Amino acid sequence: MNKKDIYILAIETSCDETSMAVVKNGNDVIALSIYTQIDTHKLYGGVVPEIASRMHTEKITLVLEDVLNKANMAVSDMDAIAVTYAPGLIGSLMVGIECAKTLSLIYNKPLIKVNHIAGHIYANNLTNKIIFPTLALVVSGGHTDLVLMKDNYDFKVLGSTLDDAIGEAYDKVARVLKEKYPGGPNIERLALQGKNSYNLPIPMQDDSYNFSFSGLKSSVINEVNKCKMQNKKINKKDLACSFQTAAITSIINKCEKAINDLKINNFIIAGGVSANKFLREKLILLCDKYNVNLSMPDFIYCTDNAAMIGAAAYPLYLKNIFSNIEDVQPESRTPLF
Amino acid sequence: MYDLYIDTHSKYLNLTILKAKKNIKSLCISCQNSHSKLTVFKIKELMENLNISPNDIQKIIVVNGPGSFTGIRIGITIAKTFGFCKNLKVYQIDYLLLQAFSINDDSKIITSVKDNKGYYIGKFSKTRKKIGEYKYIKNENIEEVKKSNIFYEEKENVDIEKVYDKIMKVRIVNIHNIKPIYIKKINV
Repeated sequence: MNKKDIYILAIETSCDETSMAVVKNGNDVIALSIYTQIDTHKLYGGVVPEIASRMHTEKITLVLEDVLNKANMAVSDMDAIAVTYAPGLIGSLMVGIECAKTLSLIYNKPLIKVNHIAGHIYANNLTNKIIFPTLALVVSGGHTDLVLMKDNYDFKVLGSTLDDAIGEAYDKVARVLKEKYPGGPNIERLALQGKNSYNLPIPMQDDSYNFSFSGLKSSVINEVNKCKMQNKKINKKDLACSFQTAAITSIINKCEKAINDLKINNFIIAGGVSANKFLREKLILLCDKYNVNLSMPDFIYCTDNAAMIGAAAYPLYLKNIFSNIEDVQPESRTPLF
Repeated sequence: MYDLYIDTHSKYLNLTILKAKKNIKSLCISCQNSHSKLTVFKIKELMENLNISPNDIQKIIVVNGPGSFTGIRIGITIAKTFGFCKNLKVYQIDYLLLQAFSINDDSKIITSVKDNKGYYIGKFSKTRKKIGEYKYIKNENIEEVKKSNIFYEEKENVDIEKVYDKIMKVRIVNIHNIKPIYIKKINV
């Protein structure tokens, strides 16, 4: 007997993207719709939470219509409704959650609440199936974690950032260098055109699996201030390249230590910073060196999207982990692990 | 067939199910900051109590403001999603007009919605035509407005049955274009 295919309608509105997807069996994206607000928030130099909530409310049914049209399916064809409930902006999360609850009510479908970070991790299943046990490097605006996963939703944190997350550090350096929002991708673009000439210190050369980027950010600020005092023009491209080299080298060193210590054969990356090309290149070299199987999500699934929420909901669906309507509420900071 | 009325603009959650213009079940509960937890859940409970299904709903009336930004967005998102999926007529009406419709007073009136710092106010003619734009008046300036006008404070709920026919005359917009009215500008 053929196993029945499972279709999940997933909703993601945790920040400034209104996104919905239809995902089959947790790995096959039947349709994906993303409405990004980035051009609006660019005008203010960052995401304005109240504006984000307003735009989600305006676009929510348009995105729903779009994803159903692309999938050529109806909500009644779905096996479950999945939605991001944390972490994120409360007002933004709320819009997706109310939409998901309403769909669950009117079509009598199970409701699955998904942590946004789990979404980033399970985005890997949309490209290559995650093989357990695996090391997972979670790199985003709020996370820099090295995690051991022995099974689905089994997370053992080996190390985390002690201060700024890597994405946060990129954004802060972007502000110091007077680069526009979104800062991270702009720093990466500059870095690719520069040379590692500033010789910035590589953070956390110790025996732990932890990370730290605050000191490196201060080094960048010191270089900028030094130039100002000496009336010299800062070489933004070289400074961005030097920052990126030190930050990514620190991450790669910790990954190498974990691969050596734990003798793990599988490695995945997750989070918005997993779109960073320099990081991806360095990880490919590292995993080649140790003959480790590396999985990286396609670029489209690295940034916020609902397909990853559908992928993360699938193992929960298989375990019948569903939520009552009254138990799903937005949570700004609930950690996954 | 039934109609569903949703009002989440204030600290109260107001829901009503109507049949042939008559209120057959309603609910008014104080739920400060709990609209997200309760609104869809209470709609479900109301329908279960009446033994009706979402397929039995033919129209939705939703209050689109002014008031709590978050509260309004919850009501609007539910109404839009429900209405879009089931291809229903969705009537959006603001609370100031709704309250004006409900008041038996043969004169010009001002209706209001209060928040911590002031009042959203709307001025209406004898025939309940809107006079000028809605405004936000800070607490320190409201006494002057109250003195020189027939001023109505916001109520916990409105008898929706009484104003039903007037609501049905409100122009219906495309469901995707239903949106909250905010009035107050946000500081960025």
